[in-house]
Amino acid sequence: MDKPIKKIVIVGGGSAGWITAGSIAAEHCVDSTSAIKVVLIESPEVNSIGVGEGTWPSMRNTLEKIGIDEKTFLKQCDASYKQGSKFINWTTGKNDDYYYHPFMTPNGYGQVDLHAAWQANHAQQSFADAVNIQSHVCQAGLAPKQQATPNYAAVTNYGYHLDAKKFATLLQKHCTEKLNVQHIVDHMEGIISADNGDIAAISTKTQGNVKGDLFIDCTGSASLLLGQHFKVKFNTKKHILFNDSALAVQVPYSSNSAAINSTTFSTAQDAGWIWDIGLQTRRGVGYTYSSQHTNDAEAEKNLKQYLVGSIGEEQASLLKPRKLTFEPGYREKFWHKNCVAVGMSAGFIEPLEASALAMIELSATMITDELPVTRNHMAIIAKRFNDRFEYRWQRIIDFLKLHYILSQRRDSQYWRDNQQPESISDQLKTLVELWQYQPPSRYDFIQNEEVFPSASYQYVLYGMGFETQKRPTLTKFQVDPLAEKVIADVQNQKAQYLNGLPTNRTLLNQLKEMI
Amino acid sequence: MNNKIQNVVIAGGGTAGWMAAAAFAKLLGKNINITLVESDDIGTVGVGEATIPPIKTFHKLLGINEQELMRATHATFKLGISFESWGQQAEDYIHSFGVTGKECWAGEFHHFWLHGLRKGIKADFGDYCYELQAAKAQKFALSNNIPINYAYHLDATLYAQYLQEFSKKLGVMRIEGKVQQVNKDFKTGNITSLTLASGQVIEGDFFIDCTGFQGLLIEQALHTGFDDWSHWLPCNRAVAVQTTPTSTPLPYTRSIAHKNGWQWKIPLQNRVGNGLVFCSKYCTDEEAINTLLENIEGDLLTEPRVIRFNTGRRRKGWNKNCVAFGLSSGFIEPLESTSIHLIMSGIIRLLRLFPFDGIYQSTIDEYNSKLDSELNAVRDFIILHYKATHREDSHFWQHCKNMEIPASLAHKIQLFKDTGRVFLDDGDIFRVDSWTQVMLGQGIMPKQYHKIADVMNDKELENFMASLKQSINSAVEKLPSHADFLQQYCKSDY
Repeated sequence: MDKPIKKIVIVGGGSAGWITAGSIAAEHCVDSTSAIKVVLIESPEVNSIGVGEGTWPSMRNTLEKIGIDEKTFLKQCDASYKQGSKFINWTTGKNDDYYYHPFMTPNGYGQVDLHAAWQANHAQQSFADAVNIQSHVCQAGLAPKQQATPNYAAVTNYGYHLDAKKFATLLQKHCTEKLNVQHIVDHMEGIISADNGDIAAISTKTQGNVKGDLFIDCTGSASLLLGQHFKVKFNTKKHILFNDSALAVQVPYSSNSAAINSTTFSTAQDAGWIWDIGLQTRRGVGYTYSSQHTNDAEAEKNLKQYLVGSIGEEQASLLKPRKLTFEPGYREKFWHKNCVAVGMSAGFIEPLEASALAMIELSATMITDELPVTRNHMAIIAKRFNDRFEYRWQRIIDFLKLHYILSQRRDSQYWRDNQQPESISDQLKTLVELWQYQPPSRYDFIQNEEVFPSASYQYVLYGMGFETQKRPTLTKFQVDPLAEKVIADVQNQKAQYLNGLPTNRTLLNQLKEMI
Repeated sequence: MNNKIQNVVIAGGGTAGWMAAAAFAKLLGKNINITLVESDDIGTVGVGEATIPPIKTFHKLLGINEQELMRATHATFKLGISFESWGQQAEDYIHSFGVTGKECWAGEFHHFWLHGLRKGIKADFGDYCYELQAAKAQKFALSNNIPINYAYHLDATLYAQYLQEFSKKLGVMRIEGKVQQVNKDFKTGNITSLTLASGQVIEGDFFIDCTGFQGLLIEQALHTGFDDWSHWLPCNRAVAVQTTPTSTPLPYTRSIAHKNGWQWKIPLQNRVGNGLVFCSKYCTDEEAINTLLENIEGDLLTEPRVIRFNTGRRRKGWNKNCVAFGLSSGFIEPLESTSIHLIMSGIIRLLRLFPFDGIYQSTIDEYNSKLDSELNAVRDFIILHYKATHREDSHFWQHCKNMEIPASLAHKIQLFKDTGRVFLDDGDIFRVDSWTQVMLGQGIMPKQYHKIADVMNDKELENFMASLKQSINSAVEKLPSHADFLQQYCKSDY
């Protein structure tokens, strides 16, 4: 007999657990009597990882749907606005070369060949600067909106930098107080199986067995349900993305008027890259590197050197970095029987394009939108979920790898190894070959809800000096006057944007005072 | 785009590496820079100590002085190989480098010899070969009047050292270090540089893999693939040991078949190189060592050393921007001293096709197709020795006698059996004389001979054969002993 799905048990707090809980609970009317029941079991003994994290613009939508007020969120999560990433020393490693990958898609993108217009007439500017306003806004340290701009609305597209621990706390409060999510603080002791191999219940230390129809594994890299219980294989991707270690520090601002970057800074090093994320009250800085290509002591030296640049020798020497290790990769499947993994239990990849929270949101959204009605329905959904997320992981890995293979750096083994053909998927190799003849387009990424739109590929390719051949014959797509208009508009509106927008710091300080 | 090949990097010293360095420096040194990376920690296999005559052409090309080279490498002259107990136990023949008899346009000398046999002229085929008779008499001299075809026995380690000095004078840069990683370009798949254990990076446009069996570049980095030939050439191990000489050096290599393999004896001026080639399926290392030790004379200069190998070939000798020479390109067998020859022939082929202005697929294809024919011909010739045996005294020889052989070889044997004729294939480095000597020597007797031999009547044939034999005997008579000639020509200091 087909069994209805009425109770969802999420194991593990943290961002993954609470975003998934919030998302399901908000969409499935948990306040009504006939509603689905959402339970979240969180161990009092396990700490979430919670380094400063970056999000994509999708987070605005996620928060709004869950019903969290943006200003409350900004205040309680120490959050700031993020408009994209600034990649420093990635292309040549010389003279602080940099380029921006902003969140905004250029106007007219897909209608006209902006790349061709840029290549023909505007190549003295960087690609991002020519086709869109956002890199100018970022370079000036400005916020993506004004004080009067409504909640979740944007002048220039944005996501956030946030403190993941505080974020989980906020979500927990919201989910339990407003969304009727039942919070069980208890340690998971074991798993009780049903006859068909499904999970029947989670046994806890003090509160007995928690039964459920669908179990969501948000237990982090331990992957207690999917990995340990169901033995679903983990496929490492270390041969593609070499980074497997990180040293993280919290860096105080010199004053409460110091600039808060509204992009994630990613500065390439000899054996990895350093992230630099500006929260409201501190920076989160870390070096993620390949243990095969450097050692911890050397990495720590590099990180200190980087910090000395902004906070001086004395301050830098006081900071003690925290070491994290991880295995890049993802599981063979994510949804098995009546268990689905969200977050690090499904997979993890270095935070180069801040994909971790985005993948959690995407997982939570799909589980919410396609929440199975019955157990038989679930079998179909599981297959759809697995196919889609396998594809997404592949696209993320290819997109991250693209940053490495476009680099012209050969000054350390790390960069040379990144050119090895064995470390690059066939799909990516084919695309890079294709892009020698034509710019990335919607034909290259054909699913709906692609993780990275083709515009992102253009920003990275042309930001890193990749050359697409000029087509010797003309097409309408290329000569459309709209292309020149888009580029001219950026120049014409630049002053207006730069004058009209407050600095990231000013806007965040104002918000703080308001509430 | 600039695809010019200017910087050539040779990975691995040893015989292959230094032969390549010497040749490229001498002949292309004006156009290219050559760097050779080798590690003092990695020993060379260096038992390939016998050569075949084309080596002389190679040395001429490089302008190497023969006497100087022979002194430096403790070399002796080699007129051929004595195959003992191969066809039958206790039956020997010599495969010499010489021409046997005189040939005419329609048929080779062996047709006349076969004709003679039927007419009652009982003489060995080898009686009509100058080099073979000189070898038997242990005599040798270089003379302008009577040309003599020969090669060398030499100390491969000293040979590599000699070529190293030679190459360095010509500007080859030697870098000491162990290759830790081969770096490639993902777009082209070409090798871009080598990272050494020290962290040093050697960049190049073209790479030559002389890293031995492991094929660090051609296989481990480029995954070229290997064709296994062990079903035709089952031997996969050799045990080698050096001994003091107990007599003056012979001007030929001895190859002695034993129950489970065959033994080489290569005389240098100061020592004898000995070894036993065997198949681990039929013989343990211990048995092989015992067989070898029972069959050598003189005192041991080294401990017996076991070398493992796989017969077969790298699928492509040239892949992307990398060419393999020596063991990295494959290994057939030491039986006919083809290892050093194949290195040389690869070097010459690459010189002729050198991609100064960039690598074209057509060039690569040409190189590989010529290499294919050459390797197939060598392979067939070596297999012939194993196949054409009447021995059945061990599983090893039973296997050899009954094994499947390549169609090209089966055809050659059948043609010879049926008609007494031998036609060479493209790329055959052995001459008709070599094929006939081995086939006759191991008891493949043709049913027929070419009727051209009938142009002589019995009396004429008798005179022709007798005068040939006579002139060879008198020429050999006048030769000094090999040992005496070595003494005055190229005596080494050791």
